[in-house]
Amino acid sequence: MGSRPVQSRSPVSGAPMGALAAAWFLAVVAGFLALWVYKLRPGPEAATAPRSWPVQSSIRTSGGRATLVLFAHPRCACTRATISELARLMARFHDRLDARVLFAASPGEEAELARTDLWSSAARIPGVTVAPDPSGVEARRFGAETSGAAVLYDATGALAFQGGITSARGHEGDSFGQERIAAVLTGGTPDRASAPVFGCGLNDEGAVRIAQVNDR
Amino acid sequence: MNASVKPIDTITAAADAVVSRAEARFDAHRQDILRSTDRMFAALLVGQWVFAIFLALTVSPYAWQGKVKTVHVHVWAAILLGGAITCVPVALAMLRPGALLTRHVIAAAQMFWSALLIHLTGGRIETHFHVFGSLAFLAFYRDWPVLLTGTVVIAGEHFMRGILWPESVYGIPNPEWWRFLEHAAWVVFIVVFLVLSCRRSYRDMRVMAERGAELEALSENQWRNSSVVDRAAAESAARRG
Amino acid sequence: METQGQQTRAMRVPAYDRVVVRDGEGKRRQLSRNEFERLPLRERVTYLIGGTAEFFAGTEHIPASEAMKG
Repeated sequence: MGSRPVQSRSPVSGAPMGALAAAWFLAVVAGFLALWVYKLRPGPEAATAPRSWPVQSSIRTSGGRATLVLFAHPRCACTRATISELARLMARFHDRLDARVLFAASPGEEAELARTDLWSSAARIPGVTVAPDPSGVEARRFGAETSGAAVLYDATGALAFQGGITSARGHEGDSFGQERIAAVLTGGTPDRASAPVFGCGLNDEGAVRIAQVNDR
Repeated sequence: MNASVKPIDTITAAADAVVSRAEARFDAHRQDILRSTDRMFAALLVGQWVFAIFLALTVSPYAWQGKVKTVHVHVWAAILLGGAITCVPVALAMLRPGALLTRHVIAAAQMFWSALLIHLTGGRIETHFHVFGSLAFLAFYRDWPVLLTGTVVIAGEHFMRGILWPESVYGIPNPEWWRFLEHAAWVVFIVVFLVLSCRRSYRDMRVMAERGAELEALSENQWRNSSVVDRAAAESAARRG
Repeated sequence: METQGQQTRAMRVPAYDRVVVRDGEGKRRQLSRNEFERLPLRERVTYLIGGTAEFFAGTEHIPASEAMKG
């Protein structure tokens, strides 16, 4: 007694079903390709942040430590992953980095921000200060247009990095941005000082544009 | 007894009949397992589809541009791509239960669901456990090639992503070609043990069927060894009753 | 079964470890348990139907019906 193929008693013949299965497989693969195209599309191209810390900024830095400022839309689902990655960064570099998370807010909406889960998640990270950014003033000052955009200034106040810290929209895991920030904080030289930002637009001026990754 | 029929011929014919019945019992048992597993997966695939839509609507319902919101791509992915992943395998489970094509399509669909759920949850490491759970469920078929289909699908997805968008998976710009193997290695680790388990289960089913054939053969022998008078009396009683 | 005083218990039949089979020409050959179980099913069934397989545990003869239970 050996292993014989078990016969199906279905009236539907094999060849058409085989072709259907092949077409189905290709369609699903195409669907995943389309999903990845979306997830890897960066947010709007950012303006370049000031090369040294702008004195007009309302954000106070502590001397002698690097400062990371991250701009977020309070309801952007993709920024959840950014906040998770910020937590990983802070766990690794909490002793040499101050972090601020600024949430875009219209005038009068500041109180509502504290009720969002993104605000709560960011506020729970040790070493992170969370604050509203009324009318997106600071975001514009630092050239941030996409939720999840981060700027890193070293201890001397010089711009060291500008960009995102996730590898795709709403996707946790290692990224170019994290590697480059880590290189700066460990005294190394990153290959680039920027990374694409994946998230929702911070302001409702203009449509979402495909951004180019600029090397400074 | 008919003098032209040798005793050995009747024994051979009886043996053929016993073996044939054993094969039929084995096939029926295996078919039951395959069909019931197909049904289980059909229900699971639909359940995952419903869960994915709920997840997308709860976790990421909108994309924002300032104050302007649009339906998030995750919602469309859950409904449309999730529906595409689910409909064909469920149809096959209903139209061709127990068929070879059905369970391989289901295996591919289940791993596609792992990939989609990982997308919908933002690549959370916990969601990756769905891959290992799915492989264990596929072992219910007791048909190890099905596990290979699942492994190839999930490894192929990593390989494709690694080649086309290396940063998305490994976080480095130029991964060595073998990096996808590091991710696949853990999958292979569990698949090896699941394949061994499937083969053992299959062997156990075959042994059970053969043991039944042996016991039937013993009964046949005992009947043959009973006296001619007893047999005639038993046949007569059977004709009357 | 055996009875001692008031107690009756089933005698434990040892598992067979060898089989002597007789082919159609009457020729005998001895097989280990493993070798017998590896024979094609049809061949084993033929021996059992024809009563041409004898089962032993060491030197002790085991009835076929008991041997197939173990």
